[in-house]
Amino acid sequence: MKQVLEKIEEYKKQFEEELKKVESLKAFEELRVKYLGRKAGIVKSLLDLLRTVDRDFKPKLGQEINKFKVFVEQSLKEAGETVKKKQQELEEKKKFFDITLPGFKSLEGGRHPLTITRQLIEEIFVSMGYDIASGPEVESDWYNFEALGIPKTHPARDTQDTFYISEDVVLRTHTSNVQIHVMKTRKPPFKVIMPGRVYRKDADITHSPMFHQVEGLVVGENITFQDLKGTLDTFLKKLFGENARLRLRPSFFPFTEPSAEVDVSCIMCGGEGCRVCKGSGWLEILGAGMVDPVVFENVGYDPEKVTGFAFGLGVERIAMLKYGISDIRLFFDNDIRFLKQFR
Amino acid sequence: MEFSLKWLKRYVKTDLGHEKIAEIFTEQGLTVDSIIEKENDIIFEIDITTNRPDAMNYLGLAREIAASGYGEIVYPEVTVEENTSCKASDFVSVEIEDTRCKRYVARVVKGVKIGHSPDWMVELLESVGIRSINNVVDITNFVLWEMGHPLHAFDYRFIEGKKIIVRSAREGEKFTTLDGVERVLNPSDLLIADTKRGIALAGIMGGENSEIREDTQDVVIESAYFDPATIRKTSKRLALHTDSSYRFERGADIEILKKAADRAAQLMVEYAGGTLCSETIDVYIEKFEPVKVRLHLEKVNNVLGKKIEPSFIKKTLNNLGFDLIDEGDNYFDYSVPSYRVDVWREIDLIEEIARMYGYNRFDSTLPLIVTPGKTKTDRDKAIEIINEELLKAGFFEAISYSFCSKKDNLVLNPAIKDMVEISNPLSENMSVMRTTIFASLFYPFSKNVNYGNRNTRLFEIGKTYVKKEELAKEEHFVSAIAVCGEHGKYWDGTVQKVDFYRLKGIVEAIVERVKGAKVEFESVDWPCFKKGHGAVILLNGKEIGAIGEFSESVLRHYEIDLPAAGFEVSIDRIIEGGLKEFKYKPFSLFPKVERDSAFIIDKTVKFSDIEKVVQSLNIPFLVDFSLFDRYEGKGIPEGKVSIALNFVFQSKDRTLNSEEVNQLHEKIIKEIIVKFGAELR
Repeated sequence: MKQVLEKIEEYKKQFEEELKKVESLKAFEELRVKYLGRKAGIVKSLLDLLRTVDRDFKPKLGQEINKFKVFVEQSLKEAGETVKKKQQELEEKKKFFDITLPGFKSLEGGRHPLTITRQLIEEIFVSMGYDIASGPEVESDWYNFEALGIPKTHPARDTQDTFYISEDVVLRTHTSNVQIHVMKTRKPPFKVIMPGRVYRKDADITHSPMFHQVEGLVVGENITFQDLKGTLDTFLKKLFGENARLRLRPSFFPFTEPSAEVDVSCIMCGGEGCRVCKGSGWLEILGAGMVDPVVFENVGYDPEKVTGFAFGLGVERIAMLKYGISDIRLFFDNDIRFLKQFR
Repeated sequence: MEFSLKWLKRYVKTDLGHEKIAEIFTEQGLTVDSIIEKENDIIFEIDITTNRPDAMNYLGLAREIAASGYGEIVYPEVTVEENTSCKASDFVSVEIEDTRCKRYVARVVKGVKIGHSPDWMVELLESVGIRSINNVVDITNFVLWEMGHPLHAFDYRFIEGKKIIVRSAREGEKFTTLDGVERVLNPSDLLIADTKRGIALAGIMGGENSEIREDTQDVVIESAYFDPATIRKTSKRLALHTDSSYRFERGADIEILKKAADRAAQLMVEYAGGTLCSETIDVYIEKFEPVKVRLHLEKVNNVLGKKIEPSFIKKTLNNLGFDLIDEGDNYFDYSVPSYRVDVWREIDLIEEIARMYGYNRFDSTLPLIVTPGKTKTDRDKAIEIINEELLKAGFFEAISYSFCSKKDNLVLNPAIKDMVEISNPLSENMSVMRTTIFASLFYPFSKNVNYGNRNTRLFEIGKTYVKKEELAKEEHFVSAIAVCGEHGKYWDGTVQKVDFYRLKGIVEAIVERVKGAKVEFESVDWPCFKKGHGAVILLNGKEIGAIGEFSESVLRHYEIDLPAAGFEVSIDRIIEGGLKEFKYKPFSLFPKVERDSAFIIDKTVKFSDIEKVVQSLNIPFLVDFSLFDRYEGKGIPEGKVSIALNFVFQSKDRTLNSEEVNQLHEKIIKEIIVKFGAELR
């Protein structure tokens, strides 16, 4: 009997040790079976042992075994709660989904800021009922100059340093050549813009040998200078916002008369005067005017019957103002560190 | 052009401050770019357009202020005291041999004493950047700036034969201008000569042989009018631009000649102690007839869109010097002053009215014509799809120059002829028009790679230019170039790769979406592509572009140290014959049955051949067929690859049973095994 009692004591110690180590539900269940299993549990084996001991000792021993059983049951019950909780926590952890991990972005790509700006300009004019036309860049001297009232001896040729292909063929110096193509192929009335690449022999921080213009041409009966002003006013307000103001200065272009240089109130300072507008409050933005009768004559229109206006603006100039770019070469370097800022 | 306020104020009475004056100039079309405040003067930097030579002097500017109604013009008093004891004709005679000189006025001032100019004159000249030389030369410059007409003063001693002859230069005639440079002339140049040699390059610069010297005593003042185009041509050819040529080539005032000569003579008498000989030599071969213009009041309103009061028109044009010579109920007839070379038509008068009225006082209206706005063309639609596909694939749009070097074009296509060459390029790198976008797009590509962007992907939509008769054939292309390799990696291990096949997929998608057609690729051996890695792209048997991995020679030429691939496709050729048309086709509601099989096959078997074989079997219900894995390496014999194919079977009107699908699948497998010696895996 003493031996059995000692064994119970030993089992108790062993159980306590083992219970401490239990962490998972699975280990817990194994421990329960090990001690309380109906077929081969330790308590069962002790009860089996009881059958072999002296009758006198049976009650006492039975009591001890039962005490041990109750102790095990009680301990397991208490520990079971903790283990279950732990297990639940583990299950929760395993389910965790981190929504803050970085998303999978597609490879970066984007359109060129000059394309974005050109489309912006096109959209505004199309919304005002304009068609879009285009023309050749390798152009005859006649279309680029002569038809626009700029003969070879005209001093205005000095202001447009020209790339020549041959004596009579040039890289167009402006999109105004398309005016001639349009007028030669269409009948008034029409409203057209003509975007495209143009070329001048000039290269520095504000000049590129290749750049982009958008030409505009409206021809019909009774098209007036006030229509030109209103059109440009509408355009500039749509482009730079309702607060943009317009200023026209008389100027000279061989193919328009009257001609105007058009300024917009400085988009940086609103007209107060700053570094961008060199303190004047105004930014030169485009050239415009009423189509010169000589141009109409050159394309076979009767200047007594139709009038019209034309304008030309630089896409780079507008993009530079809109995006705060001060070096025109950035557009043609196509550095991705630059391009990615407009995607 | 710089003008001094102090000098200007000699000719205009006004209470206006300099800022208001600048504003008036700008509003009237003489834009004041900047105002420089000096110690005791204000300098206006004025941008005077090429059509307004009349305003390129102080009296002209004074006239503009007076015309605005803000001041009164004060003309200098030009009075000459002639000494009748000498006659100009005893000194010199003038003959115009070449009629490109329309008028030549000469006066003779005897016994001048060359010395310093008076301080006030030196100061005025220096205020606009003209260095004082001596009293006689300074006076000619002073008159030029005062009234706008360029003069020249000869030392009489050096006029051989007492005769001034205006003639064309002889072919190869040598002449040394007073800047000491010997010029070689030709008959297109106009020369002022004596009986032996040239003494001045007409309207541009005097000669070294006859210039005013310290010991000059007798001076011949030249005040002449030369044909603008002639002066411009010579000045441009010799790259010799002077204050004088600048004015003559824009158009001088032929009627002011005598007055300008008198003014100079007056000042020489006063400040150089000379005696003015009697007689003015004036050879005037084509008397000036003022231009007469009829202005219809209705036309003014039609062009400007605003009713301008006739009284305003009259007053303004009068202030500007236009003479009202007749008027009717609805028109005014004007005579144009000789200094306004830019005005000869009704529209020019209308511009004068508009600019003096003030452009900014006009209202804003919109054209009263109704026109439909633009709708997209086929090319626009194609470009939209191209953009979408390339942006989706992570490409940045670039805009590169339309020109490049000859070498650039040749490296990409050694066979290219008919380049459009620029006769006066900025540099060799920009000397021809690109015949392929690659030629110029490689520049920014290379720059990016060398800046350290090892996954550069660029595309461009633009034109190529090939000589066609006198002009060029300009064709729209899309071109893309990318570094081959890994372009990105996600944290779950997925790799974003760009290579030949990725680019090929973009081309296929573009043509499929734009045209609804499949493109074919035909292997080519072009020097721009790595051997065996290049192909032409065919649409309905017609070449529309090319694709490939670039060869060493291309990469080396553009200094790129990474493998790169690219494609270029003609947008114009894709859209030829119209775009894809969409038409709904009912889809099958019955289940698909899929079968996969993998083969080990010779690496040299072309996938397109397998496709052809499968297609040729005409298997019923086979609705799709694709490659979903391709592997070589470990476990596969050398020279072989493993390919895994997926077959999809579907019927339009019933559910297929496993048995029949297996039979069809079996048939395909057998054919592949037989035709290509493949081995089922």
